[in-house]
This record gives sequence, structure tokens and C-alpha cells, in this order.
Amino acid sequence: MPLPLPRFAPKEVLVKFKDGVSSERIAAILKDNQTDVIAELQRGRLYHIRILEDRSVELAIAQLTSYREIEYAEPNYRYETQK
Amino acid sequence: MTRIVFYGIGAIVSVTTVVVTLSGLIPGDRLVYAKQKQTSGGKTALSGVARGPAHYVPGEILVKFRDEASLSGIASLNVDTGAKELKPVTVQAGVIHQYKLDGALSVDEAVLKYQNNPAVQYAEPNYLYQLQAIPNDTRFGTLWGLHNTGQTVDGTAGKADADIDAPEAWEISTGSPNVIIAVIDSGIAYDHPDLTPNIWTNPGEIAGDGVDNDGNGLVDDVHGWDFLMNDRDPMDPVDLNPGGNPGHGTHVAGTIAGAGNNGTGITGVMWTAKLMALKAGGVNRSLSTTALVSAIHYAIAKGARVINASFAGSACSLAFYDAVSAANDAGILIIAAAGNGGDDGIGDDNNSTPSFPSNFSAPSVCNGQQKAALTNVIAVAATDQTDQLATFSNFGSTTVQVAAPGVRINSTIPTSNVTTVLLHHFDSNPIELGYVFGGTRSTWGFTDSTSSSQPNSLTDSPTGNYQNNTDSFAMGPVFSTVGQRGCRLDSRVRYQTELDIDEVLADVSKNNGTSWQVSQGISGDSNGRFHPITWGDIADGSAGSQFRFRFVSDESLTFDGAYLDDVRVACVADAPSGTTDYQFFHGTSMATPHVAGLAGLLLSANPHLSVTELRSAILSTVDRNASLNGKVSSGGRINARAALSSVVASSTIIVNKSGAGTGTVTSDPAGLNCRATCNGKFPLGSTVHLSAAPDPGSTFAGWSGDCSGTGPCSISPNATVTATFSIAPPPTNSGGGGCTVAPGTTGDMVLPTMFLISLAALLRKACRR
Repeated sequence: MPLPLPRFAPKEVLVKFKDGVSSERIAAILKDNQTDVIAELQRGRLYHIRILEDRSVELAIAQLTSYREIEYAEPNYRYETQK
Repeated sequence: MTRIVFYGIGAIVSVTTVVVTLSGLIPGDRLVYAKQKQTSGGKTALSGVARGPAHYVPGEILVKFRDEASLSGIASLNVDTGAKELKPVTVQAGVIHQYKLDGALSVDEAVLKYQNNPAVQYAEPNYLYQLQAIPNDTRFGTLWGLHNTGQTVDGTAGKADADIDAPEAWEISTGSPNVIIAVIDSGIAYDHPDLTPNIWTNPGEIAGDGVDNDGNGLVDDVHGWDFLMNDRDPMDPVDLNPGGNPGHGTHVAGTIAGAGNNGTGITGVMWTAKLMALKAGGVNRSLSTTALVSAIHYAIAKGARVINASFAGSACSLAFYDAVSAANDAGILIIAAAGNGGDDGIGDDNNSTPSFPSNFSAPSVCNGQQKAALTNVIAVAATDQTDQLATFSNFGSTTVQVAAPGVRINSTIPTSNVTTVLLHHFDSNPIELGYVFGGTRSTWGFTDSTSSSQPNSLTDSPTGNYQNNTDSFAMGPVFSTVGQRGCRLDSRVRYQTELDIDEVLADVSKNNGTSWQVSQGISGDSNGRFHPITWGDIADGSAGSQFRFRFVSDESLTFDGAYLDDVRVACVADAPSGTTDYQFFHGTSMATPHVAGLAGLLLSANPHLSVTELRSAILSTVDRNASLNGKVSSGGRINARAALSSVVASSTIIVNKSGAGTGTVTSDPAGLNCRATCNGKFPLGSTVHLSAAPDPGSTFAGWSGDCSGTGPCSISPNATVTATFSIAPPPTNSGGGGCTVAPGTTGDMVLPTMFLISLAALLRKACRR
């Protein structure tokens, strides 16, 4: 059977940076955490990133949320049409 | 027999009268008929719910005489009753006389007097009928959610008036091309003939010039955008395999605003609107937070007033919450499906099992943070043809606000006519197809032995079981989807893997393999059989399209692996025919667009309504019933007519009388005429002028409350004023000047509070002068 789609996209995380964090600092944090930027949403405060190494989404989120510059980090959750 | 004729003629006569009165509101080619809503004189209403006393034109009656009645007899009877001929109306069976009474007899007395005369065939009050606008769309009879006469739909009978009263609502408004409704879904078949007139076009973008004319970062976003595949084409990709997307977004769009009265198919709740196609999902039914957040921000930037969200999930995402909150700040209403029950298919209680985004309508906990309820979210449960909560529908006394029809809903779907862009059978000389194998511990190849799909198939392990610790791929050749829309990848597959651990995946790329997007994975055992599978969407309009199949295994347990055959990329071939592209669906997904369409109708009648006013108009005018009591916070199913009436004439001015003197307060426009405390209803956004006339021996001492001074009071509804009348003769007025306020512009809608504040300031200024 096709797997039920996981509740969130594998290897992807959404990261929201606090206001006032410089783009250089954001780039440095994302690089330190071995991630690639897929897209910047909401004019650069919200980042859609991909985890590059063999790490779980949960672990990556725990590492990212330890930065005081980060407001929150969460999985790229999925929703389903309700037909 | 006489009775039947009698009713029919009565309807024709009174409707003729009303049509003349309202002719400016009614498109010429629209079929209008009447439904008597009330009960009078022991006659039972044909259908509908009585919402007040019986209505008829005061002082008027209709009389039909028998053929043998003499003209002199008629004249003498008319003298007795004080009736004067207003208009004789010739109908098939003779002449109906419309009489005006002189007031000596009441309408009831006059009717009785005529009925008792043998020369009279019948006599009755000139009943008022509620007009209904029935559009000429050929499948209108199947749309029980809009108009339920108890008709059998898709094999099941309904119950009269278990509907949203759409025809009654269409007397007031059928929509507007100025109201933009964003549909965040699997896309919209914008080429469907029943949708084309109502598809939004981005005014800032020149189609197909390859330039981002409006500078929003998206090139050629003409009707919206595909936020799943990040391409310009939001075409809804139909999936012919069971379990995939059957045209979900197109169906939802048709319920909101399928073109009305165009002689074709269905009509939406709105006959006219602009549907913005924001594709955030596709053939896999799944929508990611990132696509949803981007789509919401697009809707905000491009002026949508309503977002339809016919999807749900258990996760409370902060990013999603923030986007919905931004929409709230922008005055955008989000109508969200309460969700269909879990694996058992029985609706769950969203109070205890939260479902998002619908639960954003109530306080929620996201990622450990307490988040406030967002007033712009309305969560919608589904009802069936008898107004019962559908068994599959989630509910919630505090988390779901309202219900709407969601069972056996007929609407538009995309065409299932597809064109094949790529098809690989692997049968003759598969090497020539240009597949590249690679990755970690790859053993990919073609086989003609193990597979039961003869003669050849593509497999990760041509000789026996796959290996442990593999992450290998078979990458197909580059192909083009330029000029194509609604593209997707499917195949047949046979598989045997360690369940939920080792899997075969399909990745897709639109940039010659520079970056890849995972579409879907499968694992487990197909029991030696090949199954059809739709892997996912393929970007439209890309010259560098590519896919690859990946096989991933962990360090233990190996099985036979995966076999792929008949790998196909198919896109939409032609536009839907408009005659066959309709289907019945169930779901809270189908209930939601009824409410989104209603919100659009409200905005078409009054574009200045705030989110709070829209919410209130929808939730405070529901038809309550026992099945929904305690299941949704409003306790009922939406009623479009009642909601529209409430925004057209919903606001109240209350007048209190104070002081020892007496007098009368009247309004222009009429609606208020009182000597004590009273109130009147006036259209939102209108300006009402109040005048105070003291009785002899009294004097008008002035207004207080939301007006001041002694001159005329011009005010916007939702106000309270007090008129003070005194007995003592007034001191002589010095300059003869009262306090007069320049009337506001009628129809100029201002937030009532804001308006009142500025009005009060004006008044203070004016009085000081």
C-alpha cells in the first residue's frame, strides 16, 4: 500500500527568526546547522529549509530552537483536502 | 380544481406587481417565480418557514366573477364593499379584478362578502409572495443545498427547505465581479466552461510574456499560482486512480461561484465572482504548511476578501497561525472545513481532537504556545439533505461555528481527457530510453524474469532481493512540459519491502535534476500484483522536467524490492466539455464553499463589511435545528437569504424620549415614527435624518446620546439618541440657529464607531460656532 503521507515533509523545517536579526546572522545560523534554504517567506523572517545531513526533523528543531535569535522552528506540517 | 386555478392566478398577479416594483434588481432573462411563504385564512403555506404574519397588500383584494355574473350586479356589489377597480388582469380563465377598498371594510371582511355572493368564483387578499430567482442552469435541480424541495438527488430524497435559501437570497444579490474569493486547494480547472467567466485574472500581469510585470516575484501569475510545484499554472490535475485528487479544488470552486444562469451545468452560491486559483496541493491531496503560508500571503497581497480552506490536519503550526492572523489584519475571512472523521469515517469532536485551520477559530495551543482565537476563521460542519449533521462530519460546540450542505453535492470537475507526454513500457530496447542508475549500492536495471509484467519492467534489484543500506536511483530522461498544464506522474508498481522502513520513492525536478522534490513513497507488500499508482504532480511549462525513482533501505531485512512499468507523464488534453464534467462529492470540503460563497454574496451587497460584521451576519442568521444543537456554536445551518437581509437592513437606531413635554420623532428615510421609546432598522452604511416635532404646549429641548443640539439629527445606524421635550415655553432662541450637521453621503460605509466619534466631534464644533 502507498504509505499514508507523513504528518510533515521529510527533511524540511520552518524557522522563524525574531525581528532585528541581521541577514548575515541568519545565514550563519542556517549554515552552522547544515541546512539549505528552499525559500524565504514573509519577507525574510520565515525560512523554509532542508536538513542536509542524516538528522531527524525533531533533532534539527531542537538544535535550532536553542538559538535566542530564533522565535520558533517547526516541521513543515501537512494538511489534507476533506472530500 | 377551482382551488388550483385560484392559487396559480393569485401568484401570477401578485408577482407581476412585485416584479414591476423591483424591476431594477432583476436581470431580464432570469426566470422568476413565486413561492408563498406564509399561512393565511387556513390555507397552508406551500413550503418554507413562516417568518412573520401573513403578508398582503393593505386594502387590496383580488376577485374573479363567474362568467354569468352581470355587469350591474358586479357594480352594485362593489358599491357595497367600497371597492374601486385598480386594474383588471386578463388571464386564460377570464378576468381578475384588482380592487382597492375604501377602508370601511377590512380586507378579511371584504373577501368574505365577495365569497358569499354567488356571482363570485373566488376572492382573496392580494397576497405578497416572496420572489425567488431560479437560474436556468441545466443541473440546478440537483443542487439541493441551494434549493431543496425534497427532490431526489443522486438516488436519495431530501426534505423541503433543508437548504440555504439561495433563490431567496438571489433576490437581493447574485454576486459581483468585484469580490475576489481565493480557493487554496488542488488548483482550479480554470478552463471549465462553467467557471471561465468567474476566474480571477491578475490585473498587474501580462499573460505569457515571461516577465514579472507586477513585481511580486512570480512570473506570469495570471490566474493565481501553483505553490506546490512553484509554477505559474494552477490547473487542477485530475487523478483517475482511486484515492488521489479527483478534481477537489475545481469542485469547491464550482460551489462557490459556478457561473449562474448561463444555461449550463450548475451554479455556485454566487452567480458572479472572481475565483483566485491558489494551488497548494495536487494529486496527493496533501498541502504543506509552506505552500499554505505562501498562498495566504498571495491572497492578502492581491485583494482577496475570502479564502476557502477545504482541508484539515491535526498539527497546530505557528507559521500557519501567523499567516491566518495576517489575513485577519487584512480583513480577509477564512472559511475552514471542520474536517471529516478519522480512520473510522465517523465525525470527531474538534473540542477534544483539534483540527486545523478550523480550530484557529477558537483558542489553541501551538507548539506549546497559547494562541488566541482568530475572529476571521469560521469552521464549517456538513449537513445532509434532511438537515442532519453528516455522519462523517467533525463538530465542536466551541470550535465549529456553523454547518452547511456537504453530502451529495454536485459541482464542476476537471476533464478526465488527458494527453500523454511520456510513456515508458520498457518493452523494446529499454536502454534507449536514457535512464541513468546511481546512488549508494545501486543495483537498478531492467528485468524480464521476476516481473509478472511482461516482457520488461524497471526494478531496483533484477537478481533477487535488494541490499541493505541502499539509497539508489533510476533517473529518467529530461522531457518538456512546455505548453502543458495539469501534469502528473503515474505508473504501475509491484513491491515487497520491509513495511514502513524500506521504501520506493518518486522524486521530481523541473530544472534538469539540479534540485528534487519528493512526491510520494510506498512500502509493504503488493502480494505479487501490479497496482496503478499516481506518484505526484509534475511542474507545468518546464523544459527541464525529470523524475527519478529511488530505493531506500536500512541496515536489516531485505525483500524482493520494487518493479515499475508503464511509467507515464500525462497532462490535461482539452478543456472540459461543460456537459459531462460534473460529479457528486461528499465532505466538509463541500460544505465549506457554501459558506465562502455566502460571504462573497454578503460582500457583493455591501463591500465595506468588516470581518467581524461578516462573521456576525453569517452566524447570527442560521436556521437552527436539533441535530446541530450543541454540535456547532451557532446551533444551525447557514441561511443565505437571512444573512443577506441582515447586512442590507440590519442596523438599529434607538430613540428614547425624555422630559415632561411631548412630541414626535420621525425619520427620513421612513422607518421611525414615535412618541416614546422606539427603534427602527436601516441599511448599514446609510445616513438617517431624524426630526423632532413638539406637540402644542411642548418644546423640543434637544438631542442627547449620539446626537446633540436642537436641529435635525443626521446619523448612521447602530446609534442611540434621546429626544427631550419640555413643557415650559422655551426661552427665545437667540440667533435662530440650531445645531445642524451636514448629512453624510448615503451608502458611504464607515465603521459605525469611527463614524460616531467623528460625528460627535463635528457636532461639538458646529454647536460651538
